[in-house]
Amino acid sequence: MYTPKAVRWYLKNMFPHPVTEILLGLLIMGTWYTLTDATRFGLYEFVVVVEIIFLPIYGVLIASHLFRSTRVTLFELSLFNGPENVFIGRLTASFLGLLIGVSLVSLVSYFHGYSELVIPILLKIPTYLSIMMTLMTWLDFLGGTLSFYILTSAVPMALLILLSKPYPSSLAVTLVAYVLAPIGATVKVAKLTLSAQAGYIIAFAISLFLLVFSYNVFRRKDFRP
Amino acid sequence: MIVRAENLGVKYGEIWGIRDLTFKADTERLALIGHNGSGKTTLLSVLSGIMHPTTGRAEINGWEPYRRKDKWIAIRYSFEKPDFRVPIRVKDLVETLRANPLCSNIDEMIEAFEIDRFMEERLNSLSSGQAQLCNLLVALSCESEVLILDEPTAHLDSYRAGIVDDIISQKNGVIIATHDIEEGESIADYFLVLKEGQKVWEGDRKKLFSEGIYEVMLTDVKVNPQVETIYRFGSTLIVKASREEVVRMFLGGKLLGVKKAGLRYVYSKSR
Repeated sequence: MYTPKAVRWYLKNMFPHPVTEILLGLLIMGTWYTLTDATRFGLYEFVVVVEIIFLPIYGVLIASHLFRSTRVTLFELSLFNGPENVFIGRLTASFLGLLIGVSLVSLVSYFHGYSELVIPILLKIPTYLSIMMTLMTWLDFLGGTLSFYILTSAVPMALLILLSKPYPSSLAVTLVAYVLAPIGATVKVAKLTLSAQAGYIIAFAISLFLLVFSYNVFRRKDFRP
Repeated sequence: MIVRAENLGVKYGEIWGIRDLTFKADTERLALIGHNGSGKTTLLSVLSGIMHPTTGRAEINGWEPYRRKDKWIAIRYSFEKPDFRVPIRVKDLVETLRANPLCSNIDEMIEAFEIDRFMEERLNSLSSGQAQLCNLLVALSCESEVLILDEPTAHLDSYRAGIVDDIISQKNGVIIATHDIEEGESIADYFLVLKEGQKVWEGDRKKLFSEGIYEVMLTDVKVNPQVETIYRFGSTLIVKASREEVVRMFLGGKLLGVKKAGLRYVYSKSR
């Protein structure tokens, strides 16, 4: 009953926010132009611009509202009668925030004729959410946003380089690629040891597991004011 | 309310925040007194259920707060004011509290704290005193079995500090940590003095004021009180004297005021 109040509380913090809106515009423009050029130059630019540059920054802007200091978290725990409402409030607000950007990118991709990219783009929502909520359980603003950016931008960049090599990748690299860089993994699927469908299912399952895990950790966590 | 600790210890890495702490307080308002780093906030964290002890156990009315499933409702707390970096308006905080059926005292607190004056401000733009009032608003507006307050009047001016202390002193089931001797004496009826994570004194008001020790304020810092001085804080002295000697000094014009030493004396002993 009290959860919608928590969702509203976190959404108020998130939208409308001028920086998020500007970035949303850049994200759509980047998607549009790289997909327009993709018929001639391939999807590499699209992967770099969307998966490695704009989506991680958009994700950081959404995630930055979750990474609170311990004292503010303690305040919110008391305000919302416990960690369940705080976790669900943060999760729902982040989901709605991500949904706007990610669904617009997937729509632009679909209308450009790249329907095979829709699922990996939408997969960004559960994978980003699982990373956010897991990091939020332990880290504050600086540590959380930095770690999120590294995991969603620097690691996918490294994976893209790994997947550019002529030989097939190991199972570990394949799994990490599907979780952290599903768009790049789809484009480079020939180098992976798992099919795209299997990769998406595993990435979704890992994200779900991380969400349940972080929820349980957050509920039982000790706080030091 | 019965608050009890048995061999309670909390360790941060290699350092003990509190160690081998044992006490039993049968009281409605317990004050934890101690200097910085004495373990007050650590003990409050355990009693508010947000932290498990490393050793031993703590109980409030027979239950261990950190094991209680409904602790977030049964125990309300206010730790030192949060560094609010959230651009949410105070009115949104008030609206959120109003939607909570457990927070029925919200309007009374808004009026007492004069929160109407900054209702349109955002939390991240409040002064430290206003932020502290918003912090206290959550703890004091909502019903609870136990109310835990860490330095509740820090950052507040003396006028508002007085209002807050008056509200707290009328509540039951209060555990407060404070540096402020006057605040502790005016609110609590049982006292626990801590030093470096261990107990140095505990007792009720009767025990606190039973010794023949007085706190006197000299008319001038140069006045010689001609009685045994235990501690000196400028023109305020803790002295050991008979009642007659103190009255004679007062009538002789050497003193501006006198009271039984109480908390200032036991606190001084913990220094």
